[in-house]
Amino acid sequence: MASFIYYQEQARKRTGLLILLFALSVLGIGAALWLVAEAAVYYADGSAEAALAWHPSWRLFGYVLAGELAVVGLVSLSKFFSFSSGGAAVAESMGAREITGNPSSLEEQQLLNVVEEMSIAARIPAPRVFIMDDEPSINAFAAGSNTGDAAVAVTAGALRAFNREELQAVIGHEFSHIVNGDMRMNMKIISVLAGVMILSFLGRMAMCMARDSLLLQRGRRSSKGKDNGQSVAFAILAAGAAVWLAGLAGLFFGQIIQAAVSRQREFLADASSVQFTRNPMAMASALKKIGGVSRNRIRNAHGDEYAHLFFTAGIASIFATHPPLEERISRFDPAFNGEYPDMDEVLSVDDDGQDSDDDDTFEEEEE
Amino acid sequence: MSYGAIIGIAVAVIVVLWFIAAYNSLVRGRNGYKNAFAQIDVQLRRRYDLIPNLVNTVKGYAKHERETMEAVIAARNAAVAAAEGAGRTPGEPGAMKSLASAESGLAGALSRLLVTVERYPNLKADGNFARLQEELTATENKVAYARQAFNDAVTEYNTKRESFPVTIVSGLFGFKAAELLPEEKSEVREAPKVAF
Repeated sequence: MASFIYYQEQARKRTGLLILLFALSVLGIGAALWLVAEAAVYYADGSAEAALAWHPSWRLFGYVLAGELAVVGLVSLSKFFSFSSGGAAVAESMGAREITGNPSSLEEQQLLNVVEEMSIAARIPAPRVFIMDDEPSINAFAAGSNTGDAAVAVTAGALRAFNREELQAVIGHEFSHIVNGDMRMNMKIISVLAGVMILSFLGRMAMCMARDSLLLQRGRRSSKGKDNGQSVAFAILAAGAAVWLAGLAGLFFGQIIQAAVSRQREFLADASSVQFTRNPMAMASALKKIGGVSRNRIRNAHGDEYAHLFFTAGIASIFATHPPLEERISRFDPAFNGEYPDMDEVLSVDDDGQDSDDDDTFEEEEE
Repeated sequence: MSYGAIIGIAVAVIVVLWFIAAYNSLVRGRNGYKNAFAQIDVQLRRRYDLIPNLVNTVKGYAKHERETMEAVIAARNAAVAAAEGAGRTPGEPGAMKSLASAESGLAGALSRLLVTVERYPNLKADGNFARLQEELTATENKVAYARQAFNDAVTEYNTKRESFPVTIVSGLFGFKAAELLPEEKSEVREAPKVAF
C-alpha cells in the first residue's frame, strides 16, 4: 500500500499531463483547420505543378490559429465570468438547508464539529455547512471557487449511515476539492469546451448559409457570375463543414480529457483526506458503505448537472467523473475482498430509492 | 543594443524576479507554521474550559467517584498553570517540558474518568452528557489536528527551504529550519484497561 503522499503526487502529475493534452487538442483543431485551408488554396489553383511545389505556409497557419483562438478565447472568458462563485448558492439550488451555530440535534452538532476539525487540519477557514434533508442516498459535495465563499453539504442518508470517523473522511475529501481548487479547474475546462462548441456551431451555421445560397442559385438561371457564385458557396460549405467536424472532434476528445482530469482530482481528494485525518481505514470504510447502497442516486433535479461535485457517481466509463469504487477502496484497504456491507436496512431505503421510513429516529451503526 | 545584451538583461530580470518570489514564498511558509503553532494554544485553552462542565455533569450521577473527578480537576488546573508558564516563555525547554507532562497527566485523568462513566448507563443516556462528551471528543480532535497541521506546515516550510535552488535564498537571508512537535508520549496511548 502506497502512502497518501505518493498518491497525491501521482494525481498531480497526471493532471498536469492531461491539461497539456487538452491544450494540444485545442491546437490540434487549429492544425486540422489549417490543413483544410491549405487544401482549399491549392484547389483554387488546380494545377499539378502547384500541388508538387507545395510547402507549408506558416502565415496561413498563423491566421487560422489566431482565428480559432480568438473565437474559443472570447467565448471561454465570457463563460468563465458568468459562473457564479458562491458555493452557498449552489448548495441552496440543490435544496440543502444550512446549519449554523445552533444545531437542532447531536448529529448536526457532530457535523459542525467535524467540519471545524477538518478546517484546522487543512489550514483553511471553515466553509458554510449544509444538509440535504430529502436525500436518503449517501453523498456529499463541496462548492465554491475559492476558500472565502466555499460550502460543503452532506445528504441526510450520509449522516445516518456514517460514524464520526467516516464522516471526517468524507468531509476531508470535500475539503481537498476546496483546498486544491478543483472547482475552478473544472470551470476553466468547461469554459474552453464551450468555446470549442461555439466554434463548431459557427461552422455549422456557415454550412447552412452556403447550402441555402446554393439552393437559391439553382433556382435562378443567370449566365453572368453564376460559376463564381457557386464556387464561393461550395468553398464556404466545405470550410464550414471542416470547422464543424473539427470542432466536434475537439469536443469529443475534450470531454474525455475532462472526465479523466475529474477522476484524477477524485484520487487526489481521497489521498488528501487521508493526509488530513491520517486515518485510511475510515476512508475505505466510508466508501464501502456507499458501495453497499443498492441505488445511490441523488433525487434532486440538479443532481446530474453537478455530478462532478459529488463524492461518488454511478457509471464507470471513459466519460465517468469518478474512478471505480473498488479501485478507490483498494488504495486504502489492500485486503478488500469486494464485499460491501448491506446498507439498505440502515438507510431504510426500498427498491426505487425512496425513503420508506418516515419516522425521524436516528439509527446508529455500531462498529 | 546588440541581441546578446538584450538577452542578458532579460535573463537578469527573470533571475531577480525569481529571487523575490522565492523569498516571499519562504516568508509565507514561515508565517504559516507560526500561525499553526498559535492555533494549538487556542485549542488547548478550549479543552481546559470544557473540563469543569464535564465534571459537574458527571458529579450529578456518579457521587461515588469523587476521587476520579478530583484527580481530573487537579490535573486540569496543573495544565492551565503550565500553559500560562509556557506562554510567558515560549520555546524555553523547561517550560515546554512541564507543559508536555502536565498535558499528558490531564489526558490520563480524563481517560480514567471516561472509563468510569461506562459504569453509569443513566449518565451515558443523559442528553447533556452526550453533548459534553461530543464537545470533549471534538476538542481533543482539534488539539490533535492543530498539532498535526503545525507539523505539516513545518514540513512544507523545511522542504521548501532545503530544496534546490530555493536553498540559495534561504542561506542568503538566514531562514532557519523549524522544529517539529514531538509526539505526545503518555500512558493514555495505551488502551485503558476496563475491569469487569
